[in-house]
Amino acid sequence: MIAVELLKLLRRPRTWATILLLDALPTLVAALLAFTDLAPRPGEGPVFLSAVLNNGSLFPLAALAIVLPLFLPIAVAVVAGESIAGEAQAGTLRYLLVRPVGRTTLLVAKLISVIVFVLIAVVVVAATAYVVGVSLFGVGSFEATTVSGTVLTPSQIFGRTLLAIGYVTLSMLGVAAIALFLSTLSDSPLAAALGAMAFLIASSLLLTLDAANVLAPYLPTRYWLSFVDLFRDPIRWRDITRGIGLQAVYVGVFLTAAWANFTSKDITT
Amino acid sequence: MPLAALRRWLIVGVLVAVVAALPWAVGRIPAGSGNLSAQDLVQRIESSADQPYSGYAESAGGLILPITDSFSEIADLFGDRTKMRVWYVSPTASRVDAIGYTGETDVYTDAKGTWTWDYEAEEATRSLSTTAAVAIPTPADLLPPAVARRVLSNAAAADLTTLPAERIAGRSAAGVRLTPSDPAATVKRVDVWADEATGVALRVVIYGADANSALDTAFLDIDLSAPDSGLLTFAPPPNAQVQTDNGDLIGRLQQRGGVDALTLPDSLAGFPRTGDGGFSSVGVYGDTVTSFVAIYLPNRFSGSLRDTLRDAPTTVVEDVGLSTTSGPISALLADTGGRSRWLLVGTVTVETLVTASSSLLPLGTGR
Repeated sequence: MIAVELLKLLRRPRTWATILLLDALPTLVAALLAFTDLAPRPGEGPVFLSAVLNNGSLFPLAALAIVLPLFLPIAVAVVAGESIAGEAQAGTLRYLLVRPVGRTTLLVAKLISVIVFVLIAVVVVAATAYVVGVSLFGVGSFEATTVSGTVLTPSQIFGRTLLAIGYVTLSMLGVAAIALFLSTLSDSPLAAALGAMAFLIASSLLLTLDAANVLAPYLPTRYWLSFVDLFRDPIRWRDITRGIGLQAVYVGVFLTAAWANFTSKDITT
Repeated sequence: MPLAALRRWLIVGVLVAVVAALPWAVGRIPAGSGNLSAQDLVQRIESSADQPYSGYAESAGGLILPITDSFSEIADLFGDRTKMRVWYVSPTASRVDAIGYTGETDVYTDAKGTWTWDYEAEEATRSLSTTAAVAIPTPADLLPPAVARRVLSNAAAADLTTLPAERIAGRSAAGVRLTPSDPAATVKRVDVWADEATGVALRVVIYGADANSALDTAFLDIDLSAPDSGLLTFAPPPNAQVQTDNGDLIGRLQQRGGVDALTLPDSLAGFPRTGDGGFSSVGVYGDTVTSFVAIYLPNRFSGSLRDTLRDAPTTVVEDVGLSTTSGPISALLADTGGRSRWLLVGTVTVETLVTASSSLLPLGTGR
């Protein structure tokens, strides 16, 4: 079942079109930087963008910071929102369940295929950004300065970039679970995707309000940018572990809710 | 709804309830009994300067300070949330990182002074130690142990009461409340919780006249073992700008205009002079939480400060100049249009500052 869903995901042109579009923005930013030689100062603009003129191998991090706040969650919400509702809208859900597989298995397979999509998207964005960054900006002295002012060797940059890719992937699991749950509620993939986005926009808005501080630890976007903490010295694990824990809670709650709804639902389409 | 479906949704409900209640339940783990008397706890807090620790603290300031652009970092410290990572061994061996989403400003303290690394400015600044009693506040000054030692030093025993113990940063913390009895005090109470065994303050909350705290600083994580000494040394990275700075407030004021030798009174408005920071043009009056500083201002700086104060909504025009208050902080720019301008700032009433200014205005050289 999982293999079937993965093949379906990988064969779908929309999957690759989405990843291509995700890739386009960082690539455009890199081209503009190379053309104008105007990088923002440290602390301004997307994280690490200031440093890429001296070391193109840092561009994968800047690219992740560019797509993370909006474009990546939109892509995840669209793919996850489509997973069940898309089948229902196309009239294939009933036939899908005729096969000797449980609804729970189908849900898990859908979630895994969304996770694989996120991983592919993040890796492709990072890999493309590495090639584009190194080609356009070179790698300078091969070393980079951390946010704390210490120097990272190329192997340390590589290791921490891999951790950042893993963390960004995990950070999207909450969105995927919310969209998947909404996808079991509605027959419209668009409604499911927009519902998940509304949840994320509300979360981002609440994070800007001091009055909502009591809610902050529960908001799904609270720890998204904590991958920057991997580039402090020493690495600040506090928010990273909390971010992973929070995503696990969202996946647990919304996947359980999706299961409760989907396994109790009358499938008519 | 069929029974099976009901059971499934019940599982969801229980899961949500457990997840939502978990932080609340952790917060309800009972604290220790807090057997120390208020005076003993204060003594332990004051003698904790050599207790090593490391951790993460946050301070939330509720003050809106009308300050010129040159000192906007002070307004940010006291009016905003500051997130700090700290590694502390002793007063001459520590590191405090003020962290933000996209950068950080780190201050390394050693026996000779401080290194400040500002990622957003790509700048490393070496400041040599000064004995100045009046210096630009830094995030390190907002850490609970630093605030607690400052506010509780010389506190009168009659002003201290015991507070119930609380759990802070996962540790049981004994509490003490300071309620200043001086009628000139604008700080109405200070609540401090400290680790009972070591005296390291874990949380300090300062209140002015209103119910909202003027400053609330607390550890969220703390480790009371000695941090790795390698974390306390700093070498400027390649490509960073490196500069030196004398680092003290008076030095910055002197850069802006000449300050001639002055002789400040030994007491002002009934408050004895308790420090001068090595500068004749500066006087620190009073101690603990009821005190103020009087600074003679060079011409150029007083003009921009006067303009800033004039635009501030809380500013009041006094006979001797302009005054403003924010929480327990009072400030008076005493300037009668003559040759002498004085800035008085402290945790005393404006009336006290006005009284103090009457002895200062005849002083000064008018440069």
